[in-house]
Amino acid sequence: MDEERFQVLIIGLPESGKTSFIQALDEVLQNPSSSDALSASGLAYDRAYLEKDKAKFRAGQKLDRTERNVQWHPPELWFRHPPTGKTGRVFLPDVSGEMYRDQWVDRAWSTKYRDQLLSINGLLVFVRADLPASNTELLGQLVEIVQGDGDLRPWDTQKASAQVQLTDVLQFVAGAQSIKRPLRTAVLISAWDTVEKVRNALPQEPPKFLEREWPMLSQYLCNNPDTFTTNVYGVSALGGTEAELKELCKIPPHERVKIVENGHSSRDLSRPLRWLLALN
Amino acid sequence: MVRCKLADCPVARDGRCLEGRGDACPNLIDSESSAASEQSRNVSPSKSKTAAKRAIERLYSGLPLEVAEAREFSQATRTVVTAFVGIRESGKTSLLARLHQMFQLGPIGNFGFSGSRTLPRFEELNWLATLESGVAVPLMERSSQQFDNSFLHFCVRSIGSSGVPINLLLNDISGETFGDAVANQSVCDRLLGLARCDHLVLLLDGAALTEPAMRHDHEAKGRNFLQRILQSGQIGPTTALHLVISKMDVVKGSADAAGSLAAATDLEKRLEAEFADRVASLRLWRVAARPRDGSLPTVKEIADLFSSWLNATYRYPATVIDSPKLGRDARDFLRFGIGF
Repeated sequence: MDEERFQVLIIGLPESGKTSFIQALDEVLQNPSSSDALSASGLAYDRAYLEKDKAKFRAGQKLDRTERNVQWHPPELWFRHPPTGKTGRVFLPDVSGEMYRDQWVDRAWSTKYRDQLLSINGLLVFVRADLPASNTELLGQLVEIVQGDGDLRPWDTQKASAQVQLTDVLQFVAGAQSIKRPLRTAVLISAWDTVEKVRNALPQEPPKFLEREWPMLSQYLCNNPDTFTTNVYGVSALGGTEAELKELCKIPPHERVKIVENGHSSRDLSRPLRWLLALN
Repeated sequence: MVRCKLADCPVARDGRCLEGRGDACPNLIDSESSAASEQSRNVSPSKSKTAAKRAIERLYSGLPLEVAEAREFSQATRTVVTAFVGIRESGKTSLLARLHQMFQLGPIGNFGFSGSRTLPRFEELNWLATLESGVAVPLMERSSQQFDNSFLHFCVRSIGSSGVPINLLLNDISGETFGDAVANQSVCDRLLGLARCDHLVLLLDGAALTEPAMRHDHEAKGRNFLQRILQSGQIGPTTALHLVISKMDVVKGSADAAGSLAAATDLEKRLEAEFADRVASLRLWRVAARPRDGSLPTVKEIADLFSSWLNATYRYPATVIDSPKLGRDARDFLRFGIGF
């Protein structure tokens, strides 16, 4: 049977959960949780990038930050879609979050990256549920409380609000002539387990969470429907915080994961991929 | 073979960039081309920059748009231009910075954020009002005269409709220039955005209104500036004029708050009487964009002000757009006699 090859671009600032998701997705493909879920149809020839951190991931340990300018073969996952029998290979280059920060700061990108945009089938955009989207403005009661630390820090572009940086990175993609439009864009809110903690008053539905906590990014995606078709997911690829993983690591990694979409909760981390590749 | 300007970078040895930027690193030098150019100074410029440039594509700068860039928007899509004028520290930049902050929290009025080419500049404007900068009280960078003919940018879309996106170009004219313009018509003439603006926002410093000795000069400068640009035809019957009293937190918190508020009302009445029938519309606003007294900004008033820019323009009656005398290329900035 002919296999289709798919290219998915992963976008996210540093520490937004990209690498953990790829590792977790690999585990889930090898241990599918339902008959609808994508399953692994084999192992890619070159899995060196995935395997280098596999032991750490399975042990519930924090992964090292993705290096810039990585020379590894990009992660490649072979899958089968049981309901249709379709098989395929998906490439998910795990780009360092610093690369996207560099685009924001330097206002430039490599032509190689730009040319790759021509062939992408979809985007996975990562944001963290437990990190602030914007810098904290001195407003209201904060003006009276805050004393200032006496160490005035000059403006540094790297210190801009996360959602502003990420929005501009997506604007760069939108400005590329070569992308397919509209581009299917799955927004993955990582560390979703922190949202579901008891007494957390934040919205428990991922789209509403994004609208409330990452409003500029949410508006940008919604108000550019000609360029982006968006779906939002809450994802926990690790299952818990570092402290919680000390206990959670006793459970197999594919059973620690969680994904929430449209009020539906499961362990099928392939859902965003199925949507991106129109395999639902 | 490439090498690097940074002494410690191992790129020449193993191809790995010290900063991890790969081919896109701006410090890369093509050592073979550099060596050749060192041997002969008559050789054409080094290929190193070309090699590095080929691997990198520059994106838009994020700085305020120059007039030529602004034209690209105004010729292609529906565009509204709003100019901000006022004496130094009257609150122009604080108001603009507030809009960016408001979009980070959600839509403004009935308009959702759809993009901006100047996000880095907006972030820079807000930096000294953030906890991360280390300030004890929110500060604001002064508008620079270098941006007098540049534009901050938002693209917005009306919520709940399938309407077309609207580009909003915001021209922040520095207080220094305002003062010079009052003194000299030639300075006014150089302010290119005024002739094109759909909306002119004149900020009147509420803090100045609380000082009786300062009120008169402040009002006179505002009046004189409007007189100048009406006289020169830079604004007129197609311009919507907004008189905005800023720093209402200071006004309300002043020792003679009642007197200050009365002075503000009198000022508004006088300016309204003088200018209302010389412009398309004249509206009065009172805002506090970045209060320092612990109160919150007047976001409703600011949202209403923002929405008013997008809901109405008096500049383009249909007959002008369809006029056979003006070709499609002669729209907008060229149409109004501003050639670049």
